[in-house]
Amino acid sequence: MKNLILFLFLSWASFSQTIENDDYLIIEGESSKYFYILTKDGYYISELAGKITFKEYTKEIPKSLNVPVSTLIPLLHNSQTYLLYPGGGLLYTFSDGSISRIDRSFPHRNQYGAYFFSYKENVFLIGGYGYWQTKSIITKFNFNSGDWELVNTKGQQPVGIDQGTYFIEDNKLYVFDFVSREINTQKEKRNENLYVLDLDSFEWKKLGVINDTVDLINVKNKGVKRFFKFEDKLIFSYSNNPGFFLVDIQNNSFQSFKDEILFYKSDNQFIIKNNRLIGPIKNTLTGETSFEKFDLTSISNYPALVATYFYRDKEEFYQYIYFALFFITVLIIILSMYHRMVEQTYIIDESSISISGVSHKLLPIEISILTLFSKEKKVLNSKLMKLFTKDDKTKDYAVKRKNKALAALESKLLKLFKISFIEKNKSKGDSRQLTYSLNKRIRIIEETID
Amino acid sequence: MYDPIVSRSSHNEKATRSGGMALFFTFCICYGLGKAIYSMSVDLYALIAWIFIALTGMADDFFSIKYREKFFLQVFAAIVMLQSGIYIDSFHGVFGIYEIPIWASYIISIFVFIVIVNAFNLIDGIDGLSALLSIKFFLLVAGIITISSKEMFLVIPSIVGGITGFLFFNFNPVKKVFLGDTGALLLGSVIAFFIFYILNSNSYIITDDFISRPLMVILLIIYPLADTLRASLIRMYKGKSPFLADRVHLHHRLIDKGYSHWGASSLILGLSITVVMVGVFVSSLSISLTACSLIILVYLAILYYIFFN
Repeated sequence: MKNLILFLFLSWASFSQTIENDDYLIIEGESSKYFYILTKDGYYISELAGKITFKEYTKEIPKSLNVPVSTLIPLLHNSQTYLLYPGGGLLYTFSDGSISRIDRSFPHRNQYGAYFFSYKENVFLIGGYGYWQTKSIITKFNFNSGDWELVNTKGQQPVGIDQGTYFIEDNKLYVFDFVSREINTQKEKRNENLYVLDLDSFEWKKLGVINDTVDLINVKNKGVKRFFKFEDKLIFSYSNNPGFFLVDIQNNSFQSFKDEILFYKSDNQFIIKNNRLIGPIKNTLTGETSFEKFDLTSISNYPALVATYFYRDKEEFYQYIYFALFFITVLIIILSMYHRMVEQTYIIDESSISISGVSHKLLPIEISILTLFSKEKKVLNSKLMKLFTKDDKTKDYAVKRKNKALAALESKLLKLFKISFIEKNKSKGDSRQLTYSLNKRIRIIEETID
Repeated sequence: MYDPIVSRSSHNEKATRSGGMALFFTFCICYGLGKAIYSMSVDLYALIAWIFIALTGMADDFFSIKYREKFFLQVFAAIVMLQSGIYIDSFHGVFGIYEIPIWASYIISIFVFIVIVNAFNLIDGIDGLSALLSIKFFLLVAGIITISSKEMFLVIPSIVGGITGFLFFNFNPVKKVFLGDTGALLLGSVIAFFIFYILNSNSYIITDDFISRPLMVILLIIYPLADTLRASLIRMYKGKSPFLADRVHLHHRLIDKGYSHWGASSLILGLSITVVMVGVFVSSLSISLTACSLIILVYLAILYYIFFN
């Protein structure tokens, strides 16, 4: 770890160029040996070796360029640097030491915060915010007419893309972590899905929900977002968060890294040059802005804090389906056990016995016998005898009546429900004393009359 | 609140129709909590439609409202749900048709809503059937929703949890509780909304790569659809109203064959899961939708012959 910190310190310390202007724009430029820093008064040529040279523009900057240069959106396309006016519309080029306007349009003010990108021979502007609406439109610059044209799209287009994170791979433009606003309330709503736009057919497709563990997307006040493509992967970070994130969309993987230097201390202006990230850091004591570089190849040395899938796709779907089938199976097993437990619950009322929708009439004496078994599982013979004893009859008569009634009831219930209800046992304490017990699997409940 | 015991009844224990209300209030509490502490969210119009249909069910449970009145209230709920912007706007290649005009979308969506809501009400004839088939639907659809919409996903555990709790009371012979119209209509309307979501062309459905959306929807609710269609055809064949309440449903056949309520409900659940599995398997064979449908129909005929004949 010490070596890593030393390496990082040296990699930053070895490249330090300063300017005093607060309004500047750092752009890649066409050469691999140097980059440019544009200001209102002129531009700096900053060599990667360390030398920085200030030059004045060879031509006066266009009057239409009436905004700070730091608000322009740069794009390097076919070795030509384009500078887009904030909100869209006016388009400039920076070449041969001068800024020239190339459009015949006007300040659209319709796509603030949009993403300016190129594909094949065209430059496009997608999304943004303007006139109290978030936009998901795509406009293409027509180099012949100098106008911007609206590109028709189809498919599952998101409603409004502002402050999005974009990534271009082959003919696909991926976008996620963006907000849309309700027109009436201007309330921001963060979209938690990953979308892809086919840049040949201009068809949108929703790829799925971003993984919950990528929870940083939902964090508020995370600051300025920086994102760029590096070795076919997307790297993004937020200025208020000491970490950066690496996304491999093709392989649906996400890695999170802790970082104190790489992005945290720089603002949203940066370029990638020869595998190096170059960005400005302002010294709060001197007010000077220095441009520092960081070797991105060292990213592989960083230990990943989190490594997971990026968005929910088929793998998560199948996992969920397995879980659903498991849940149904467990539910069926539990319900089966529960049903087995309650299936032999018989309900008696004043004239019948019933179970699961099947009801049968019983004689009043049979109901009386079952009522005793509803109160206790084992009924003493003496208790049963009370049901049959009459003052004007002998005890022998009562015994015969009891035995006959019990046998008839048992036979009837066995025939009806295919289960034996009552068993006759001798008392353990006194073999002369008889007890009648209800089958352990059976429960009899007396229905109360409201 | 007690369910009356009539000649069509499959029960003769005292039972209340309060299960649906318990389910509805459970969902309301879960939604409130989910909205407050998590990102649970459903379109407001869909929510209003569910509440309206639940209130319709409650009115029916308490006062037994007339069928025509109930029908018009259901149509109204369907119209409210359409305001959410989630409705059937494409046939997804069935009969070679894809996008359909907006007026046709509205009419078809209202029709599908009425059919689904009533189908789930009609199969609520024996213990557990409607609830178990709803659980199956929600659990399988949750796999799709979890990929497509994080906000809507939480509706599913809320509903499934509520139904699971209800099932233990539904099978309890002593404290028996039925879904009632509140539960059956509520479940039907929630299911209808998710079906609209799946059939809406703006929705991202992960199963698109291996199964046609309309076919998947039919497979998910195959029993309510097949049983309602069969019962209506039999009634019409006999010269009776297709909406007449009687005992011609498939689950009544199982009960009459000696199955217990649990036995019949779990058998139908198991069979309907196999239908989904067969359907998904056949669809993944890269054959035409027509051939796929024919194979599934043959499978259904075999199941009917073995279990219901």
